[in-house]
Amino acid sequence: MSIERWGRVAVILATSVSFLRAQGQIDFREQTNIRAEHRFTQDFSMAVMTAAILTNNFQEVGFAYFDGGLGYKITPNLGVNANYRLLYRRNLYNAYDKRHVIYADLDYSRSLPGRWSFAGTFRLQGQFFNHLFTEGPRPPNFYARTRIGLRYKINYYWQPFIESELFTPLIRPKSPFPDQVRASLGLTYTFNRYIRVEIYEQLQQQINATTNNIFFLTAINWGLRF
Amino acid sequence: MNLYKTGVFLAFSTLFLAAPAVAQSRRDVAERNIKSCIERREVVKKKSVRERTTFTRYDKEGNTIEIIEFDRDSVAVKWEKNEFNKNGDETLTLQLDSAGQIQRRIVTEYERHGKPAKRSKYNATGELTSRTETEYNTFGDKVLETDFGRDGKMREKTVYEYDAKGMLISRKNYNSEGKLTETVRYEYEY
Repeated sequence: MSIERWGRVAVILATSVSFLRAQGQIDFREQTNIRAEHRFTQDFSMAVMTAAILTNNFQEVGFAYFDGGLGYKITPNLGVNANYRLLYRRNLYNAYDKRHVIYADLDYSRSLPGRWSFAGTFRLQGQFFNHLFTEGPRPPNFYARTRIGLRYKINYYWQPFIESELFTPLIRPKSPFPDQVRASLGLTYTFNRYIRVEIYEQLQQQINATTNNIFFLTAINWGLRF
Repeated sequence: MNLYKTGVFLAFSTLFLAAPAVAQSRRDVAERNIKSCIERREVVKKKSVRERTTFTRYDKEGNTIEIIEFDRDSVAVKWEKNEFNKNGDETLTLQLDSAGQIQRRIVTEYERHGKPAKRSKYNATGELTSRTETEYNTFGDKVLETDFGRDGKMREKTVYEYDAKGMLISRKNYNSEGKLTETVRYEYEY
């Protein structure tokens, strides 16, 4: 590529970033997540998960959460799970507010021709502030989250993937329209059937809001099975 | 000379064993709405030619629902009828004699995830002659296969073990008294 062409690309990128900046705050974040799953049978499983998210351009721990849930496989392609999440979110005083999140997923996956596979998740979630099931200082919020993704199996070990997710507010929303989209590009490495790691880059874009913030999340997720 | 004979034997064996592998897949058959297929095979030996004609009938899903093998005199030497469930798994196999009478009936039942769980064999009079039950681990791998006789007593048991990547590393056979009779081990270079 010639220098002129590189110059054009740089100008376009710079313009795009300026445009995005005008839309709201841009933040670079990092997430480290560990999830451990135990299968009682082929159908029933239990999972616990913990994660920490660095925010403000990796400078502080903005979020930390602990999950626990139960899963059930209805068919080889379809599964459901119900989970509870204890979420800590850093506030303006550098203290952590406690939130409770309950969510249920409907997971669907199937292999496609060739080495491709498709996966989709429909999630219903409710987030409660300070007190579970009661209205704290702020009313709880509810969301429907729809995620779809494609994976390509290079071999047993390596699987690149792309995913996108849409957040739609439910029950007394400020706006009935989706308020966040996420897009991810990543790679999964399977060590064996007990350990796998997933690395991805995710763009989180708030939409239909007064400040449409953008977050670039770099994530490393460890998955353990026992 | 012995080497030559061995070579010829291997070539023929490969031809026979490879035949089903190169046949059209269930999907190929279904996509083309193929109803049946006739396969004519001639095997040239030193002083004779062996002729076999196989008639295969398919359902709309491309499953083989009937297969009849005829010799050169058009006598059925092998006759089988099959039934399948909605996943395309074989649930019933009838083995018939040349007159079309049922000689053997094999019923296969599947577990929730579509893997064979129980296979029962019945004779011409409908009596149970043997039953094989299969168990799987939480990853869906076959870990135990138990064979029962007509009296319901265990005849043979096979235990399967896998490594962390899900590859079979050992197969152990036990007799009716629980005594180890055969061990096969597999080693992989990763």
